[in-house]
Amino acid sequence: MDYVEVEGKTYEEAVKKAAIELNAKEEDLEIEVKEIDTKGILGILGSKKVRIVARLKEKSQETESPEEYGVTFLRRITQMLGVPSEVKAKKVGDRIVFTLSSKEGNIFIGKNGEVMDALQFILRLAIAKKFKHGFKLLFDINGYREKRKKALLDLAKKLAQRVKRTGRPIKTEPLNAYERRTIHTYFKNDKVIQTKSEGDGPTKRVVISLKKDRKYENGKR
Amino acid sequence: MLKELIEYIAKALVDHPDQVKVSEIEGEKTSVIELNVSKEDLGKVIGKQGRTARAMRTILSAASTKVKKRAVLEIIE
Repeated sequence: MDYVEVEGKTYEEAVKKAAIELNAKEEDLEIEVKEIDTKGILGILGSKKVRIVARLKEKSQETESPEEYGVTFLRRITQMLGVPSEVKAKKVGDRIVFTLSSKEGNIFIGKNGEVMDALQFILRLAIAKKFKHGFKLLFDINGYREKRKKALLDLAKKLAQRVKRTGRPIKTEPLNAYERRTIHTYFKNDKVIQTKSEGDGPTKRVVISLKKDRKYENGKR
Repeated sequence: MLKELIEYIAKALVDHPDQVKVSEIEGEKTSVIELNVSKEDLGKVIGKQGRTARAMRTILSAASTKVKKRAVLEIIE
């Protein structure tokens, strides 16, 4: 972190000098007095010297946004593991989308994205802790979620075709909340197909079936 | 490195970061990472149904493949 060591005749003068050297406002500085040297009799006469070390205060909560904090948080983790990565954040609607690009990105994705999901979970907690309330966020690595979303919808469409053909409901593999929602959202306005989550915790699946009311209506007529 | 990683993550989640202590007991093939937090923060690092602890373990095991060493996380009050 940036710091300067300066001397002045008074404390105020030293702080002013430090602010100029660090190109910052005085209130953004953290001051540590190193030495107060009073020469002369009882400090009244002669020269006086104050030596201080000034450094920039860490960004306070008011000025640091959740985006910035999250990017710093993820960057620190990638640095600690020695994986060169680029981390960015942007707001998409009411959601903060964090993206990481790296040649070695797979280490942070893991099997079926489980490491990525774990990082997203921790990131969400850390941001909620720091800013005292939760934020909607998404963490994606090397476009993995986009690719996964496409593959997931391709599969769901195929299953829906089979449901239409046979009339029998089909269950998907266990999916996480985000993946389930992707499927639900896709079929939300479908006239024939309905989707529903079933099961508990990590084994929740989506059941794809024909709309009941439709079947009922058809049966009546 | 694994120790620092767990320390950094844990400190970001607890109310008393100053009371987070992490030690690494290195074995030949496996390291044990011991995470110490204050009593009130225990729930924060474990989480509902152990989700936070599980997430940290997942991240730790990914990190440990990077250093080619197995690591397990123990949480201690």
